Amino acid sequence: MAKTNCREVFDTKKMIEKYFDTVYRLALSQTKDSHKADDILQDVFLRFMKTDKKFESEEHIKAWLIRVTINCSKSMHTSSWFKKTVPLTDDLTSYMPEPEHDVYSAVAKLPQKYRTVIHLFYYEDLSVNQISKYLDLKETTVKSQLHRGREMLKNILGGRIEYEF
Amino acid sequence: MNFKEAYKNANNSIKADRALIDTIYEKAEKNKKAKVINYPVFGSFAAAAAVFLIVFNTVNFNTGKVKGIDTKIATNDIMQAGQSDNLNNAKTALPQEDYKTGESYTYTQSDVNNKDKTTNTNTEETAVPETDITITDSTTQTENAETEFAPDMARAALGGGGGASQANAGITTASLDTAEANDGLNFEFYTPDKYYDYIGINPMAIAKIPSDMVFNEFIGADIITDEKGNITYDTAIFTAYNNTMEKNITIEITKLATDIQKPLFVDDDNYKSTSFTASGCNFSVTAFNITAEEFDTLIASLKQK
Repeated sequence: MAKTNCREVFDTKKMIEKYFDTVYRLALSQTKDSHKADDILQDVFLRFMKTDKKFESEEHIKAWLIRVTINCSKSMHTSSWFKKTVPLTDDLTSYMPEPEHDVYSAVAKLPQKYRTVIHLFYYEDLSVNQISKYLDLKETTVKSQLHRGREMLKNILGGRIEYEF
Repeated sequence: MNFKEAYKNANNSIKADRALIDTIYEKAEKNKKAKVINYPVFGSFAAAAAVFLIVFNTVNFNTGKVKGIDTKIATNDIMQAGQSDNLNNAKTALPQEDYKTGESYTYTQSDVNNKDKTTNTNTEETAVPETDITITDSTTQTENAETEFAPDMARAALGGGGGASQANAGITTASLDTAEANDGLNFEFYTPDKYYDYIGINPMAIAKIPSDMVFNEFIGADIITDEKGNITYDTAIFTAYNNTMEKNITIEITKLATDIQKPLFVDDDNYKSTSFTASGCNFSVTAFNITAEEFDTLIASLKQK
């Protein structure tokens, strides 16, 4: 497929509409803070509107959005200039029924890099190969992180949920 | 219901605020116009001066004095700049048995000076009070108000959160502030239950950063332990900024984890990144808006030990 500018082939507004929640949910899983996730959401799409990068496909756009979201989340996460973190369980998850609340809270307790692969694998339905390309990691590294993340989740959740990993 | 289904349902129930789409378009339009319109020089100068004054009065530039204050830190909260030093002084000033959850404590520099500092050489001892500590943060000036502190990190303890620790039997996941170690090169962690004596070399002790940048007082870290209390995963993050925050450096360091994650590519010409192993630790370094020479100097200094 010939490389084209995303604004010529892909409707920017449609792309923003389509991936708006995707970016937000990823940012939220990374930062565990809805205010920070809002800031990241805006930052990511402002960059998207500004970029001159030529996208080959929608999947390419999605991969780019995911990468930038993770980068922005990392930067936001480490900065104490931003608002103090509010525990996620006290904020967005309070309305979730069991077992969704337990599962989401458990993932939120994982270290950031495990949360990332768990989210991309189980929510975005990306393959190990796709995740390795999106995150620029070896496949073995992705598998290792998935394995560790799952083991931790099993410990956190105990026998409260079935795991068909 | 299995994990995947539950996690998907949970995420699907989360919706972004659609009103932000309009905000994004407005900002994009402003950014476009900003490239075209030339602001009066005076207006730009006034704006820059205002930002500088605001930032200058709130940022602790590496050395200086902090007014003695009531300091509030709830467990698991990310600490704001300067609070780690105040907590250290508070713990020195006040006997452990005085701590009560939810109560406020005020200390002065004379309290700190009058108490003997104890050093904990036994890693099995509880280094901090077992009860959660809540100290209220305010800018109230107290007697003997000014407290001089060193730019290095002070010992601080954050619990893993009573709820989190209790729920995760056999695993402790703690987000902690790091602390200065004995020789200034290493850094250590505390939780109410455990003293971790070493995670790795302290980048703040050896990093050569641009002269207009300072390391953030806040340090974030994750520690995972197994059922026996052995650390199985560690990572700590250090950040440095200049006063306008346009220049920033992030150093992520792990000692135990071998799968160090290379920094991701971003669409920004001013972005620099690298990852490497040095001094027995794995580093991942990213920087925005510093020169190539400054970046090379930084990396070389981290590799020197």
